[in-house]
Amino acid sequence: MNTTSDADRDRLLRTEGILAGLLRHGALFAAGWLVLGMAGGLLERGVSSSDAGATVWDRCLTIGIALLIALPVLRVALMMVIFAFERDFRFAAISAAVLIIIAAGFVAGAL
Amino acid sequence: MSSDGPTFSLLVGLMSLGAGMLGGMLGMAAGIFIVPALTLLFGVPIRYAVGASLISVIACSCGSAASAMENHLTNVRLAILLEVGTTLGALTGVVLSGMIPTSVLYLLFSAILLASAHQMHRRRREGDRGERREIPPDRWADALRLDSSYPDPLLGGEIAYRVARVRLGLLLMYFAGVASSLLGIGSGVLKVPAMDSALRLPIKVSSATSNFMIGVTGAASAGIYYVRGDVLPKIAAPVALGSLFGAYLGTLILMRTSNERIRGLFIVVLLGLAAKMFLTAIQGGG
Repeated sequence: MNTTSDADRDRLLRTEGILAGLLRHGALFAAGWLVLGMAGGLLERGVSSSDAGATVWDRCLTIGIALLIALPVLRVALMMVIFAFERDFRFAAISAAVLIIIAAGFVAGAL
Repeated sequence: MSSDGPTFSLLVGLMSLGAGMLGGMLGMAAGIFIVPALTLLFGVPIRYAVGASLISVIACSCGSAASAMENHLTNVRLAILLEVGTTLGALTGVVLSGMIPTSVLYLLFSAILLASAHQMHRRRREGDRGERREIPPDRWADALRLDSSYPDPLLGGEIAYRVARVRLGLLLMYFAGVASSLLGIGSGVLKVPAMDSALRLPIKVSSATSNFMIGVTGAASAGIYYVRGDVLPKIAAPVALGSLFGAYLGTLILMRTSNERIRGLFIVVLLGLAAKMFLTAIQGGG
């Protein structure tokens, strides 16, 4: 039998449902930081466009952005763990490969 | 226009809201509208535009994460496998982005916009064929158990499908990844036809699986832009927020309007943007 069994699929779908929920809430959470950073920055500086250097509001923006970048990566990491739990080591390895490629990119970009 | 002023943020946010709505109504990420808008309207250098757009691609992708899963349409194993291709492509794209002249990027963008318009036009006319195609078994699909099924209420019950030509699919995903990180788009416009024609997936599965993958490709590219300092928070934040909210509004509107009319409108928008990007490229601008 070459197709994934029904039990396989259902289990994977359930866990994916949880992951999808995490992504959505994570995105909202990150958006919250962005709103905070934008609102705080605008209120503090008023209408003038002078650049006062890195403020706490800029850091809020950075947190929000970093969270957004991290979320899909986290999803792949979680999937890797789930595949491993289900003893599907091939796909755990494939997920790991994706993570390594992403990490290699970050490192290469920072050089 | 100073990129620090509140006016700038507000206008960028509003533009992104509009782009997000367009994207939400079409079921695509807004990047394809955002990058041209940022570069042509706001004069943002393309590397920062791409950086900001990639963040919004992630935001919209995460924000709409649940729907396809609920429909049991996404082929998760296939998605993860294909993500190897897209992330490698994203890596390549970021390396290339330093070497490719801006006008060439504009030309590429123009081509992608044309491809999107073409696809939208075809979908308008053909609709979902739902035909059964004879697909020979694929070694990789068998070994990795990629073949699956999906529920189709129209045709009744679960429809099983096979995955064809996995290696070709991986190659195409690689190019989709390159495009994604070069141009700051989600590349659904490349992924869906690739899955449709190369992998012979049912169109609903292609769309769902593509949406599933877009966030990861975006994150791979965005992360690299970020560590290189090409993501400016003052631009990326309003873009992400605007498009996120816009995508949500867009899906609400989608429920109330006809697909036909929306598609027709957007073909016009895409063609207009394609023309503008093309002209800018020719004039050596950007």
